[in-house]
Amino acid sequence: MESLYEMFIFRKEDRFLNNIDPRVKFLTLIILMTPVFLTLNPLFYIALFMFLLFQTFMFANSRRIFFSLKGIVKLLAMFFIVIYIFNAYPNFLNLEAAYLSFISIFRFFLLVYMFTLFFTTTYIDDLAQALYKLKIPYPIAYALVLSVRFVPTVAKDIIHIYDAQRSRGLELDRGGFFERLRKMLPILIPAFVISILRVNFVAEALETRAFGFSPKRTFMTELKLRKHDIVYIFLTFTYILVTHNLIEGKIPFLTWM
Amino acid sequence: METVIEVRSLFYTYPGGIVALKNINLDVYRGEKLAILGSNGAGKSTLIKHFNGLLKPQKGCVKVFGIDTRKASVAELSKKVGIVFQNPYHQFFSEKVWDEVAFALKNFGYSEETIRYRVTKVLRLFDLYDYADKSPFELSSGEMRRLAIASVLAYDPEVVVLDEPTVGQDRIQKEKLREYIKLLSLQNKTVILVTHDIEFVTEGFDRIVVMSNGTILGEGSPKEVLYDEELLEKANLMLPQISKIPMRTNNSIILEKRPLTDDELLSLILGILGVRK
Repeated sequence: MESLYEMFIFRKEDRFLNNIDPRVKFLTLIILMTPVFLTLNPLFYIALFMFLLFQTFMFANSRRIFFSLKGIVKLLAMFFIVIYIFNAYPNFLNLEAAYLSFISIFRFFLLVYMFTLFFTTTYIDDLAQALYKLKIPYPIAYALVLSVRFVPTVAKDIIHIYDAQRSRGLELDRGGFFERLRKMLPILIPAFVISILRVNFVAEALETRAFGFSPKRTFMTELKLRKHDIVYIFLTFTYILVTHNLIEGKIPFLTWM
Repeated sequence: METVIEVRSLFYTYPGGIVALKNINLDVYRGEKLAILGSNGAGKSTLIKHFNGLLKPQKGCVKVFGIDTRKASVAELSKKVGIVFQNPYHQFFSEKVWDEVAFALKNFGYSEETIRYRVTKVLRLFDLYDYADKSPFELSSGEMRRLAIASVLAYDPEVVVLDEPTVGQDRIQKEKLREYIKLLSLQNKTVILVTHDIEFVTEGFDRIVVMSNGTILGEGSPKEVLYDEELLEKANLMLPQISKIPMRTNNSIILEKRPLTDDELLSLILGILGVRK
């Protein structure tokens, strides 16, 4: 839960990736994601992973990003086991199945890594503005952004609830499967109650400030494309083209031809 | 005096890299009423989460009744240190007030008979017995706060920690809270109150610890701390109203006595004026 909180909470940081226009970052995300779906080549995945690592260390808060990613390690291990069982059945000592499962997990991990990098370095209000500038009606853009913005808040609530219930003797890691499931109720019920109450508060706060009164929207600080945005997207695009071409011998975005 | 909580060279950094505690050293003694004072983000809540093992020391050591918190579970430590968290909504989930109070007792494995006895006792103590069959969410904010305290006191921990209990409470509720703290003290409980409400700690506490930016800036009796303008300023806190007046008068008799209640101040002023109360 802490890693989910770290992933979606925005902290103003003066780093290169944090200062990139969210539209450019979103486009870059698509550029990075597309070849992941088009190839199963582990060499290309490694090249992509190296590129993400480079960005993390050079342009972002690496400590925070790795902490966010740490939260999915258990999930990845679980997915690997499930995928392996499906791939290997009925022969459970199967190298090919292990290889295929590994590739699937690596692909999933890369996608999570890309989204982590995007969300930990993007100010959510800028994202709303970016969507609006992409001609998405502001109420829809804002609703989308609001749902993302509340992820860390709900995560924080769950951390508090978990602490409060553990302090009253709740031990989630004891008992059988159904017992553990039943023990989730003291966590889930307060989380739902608080979320519903918060939705009400947010709706009232928006209404009292005339949200949606005018379809046109102005912003205090306008997003503008700058030189470093262009350089960033150009370098990303070039890297993907070159590495994919070197490894696969073809241009990734034209593989369907 | 017997030390119930011992904190030595404690450091804690949150996963995002925020350093919350830096070299904290603190002893809490049996039966004392201790206030931990500090502005938002001072590290108060992080510190108290170490008292029942919710957070484990990254560096340094915390001992509760001689037990190293790293070697004990939260449930084990919670039996000795009960924490009442700031927001009651973070803990209520039962359909009835009665079940909410009984929850911890069930978790700790008490018998049905003991549960019935303790829940009845604590609900009566906090004037909540008439609401036993009501939903906790139907209660007023003051009642909710009382229920949160009651649900912790039900399992009779030796140390009671109250995290920002005065937030959003009116004057009457605050006075009631003060009465409950007195009541706990009469039962020889150790009470630790974490707050940024400096007015609230002017009465009824034995010792005040002032925190800022993850460190303890100073500690002492309320009379020492609440007249130390420099210390409070460093902690981004202001003098309470009751010490502002004597500081302004600059009268040596008043400043020497350092009054912290209206009555103390009034009798000093009347004494100086030569008027009998």
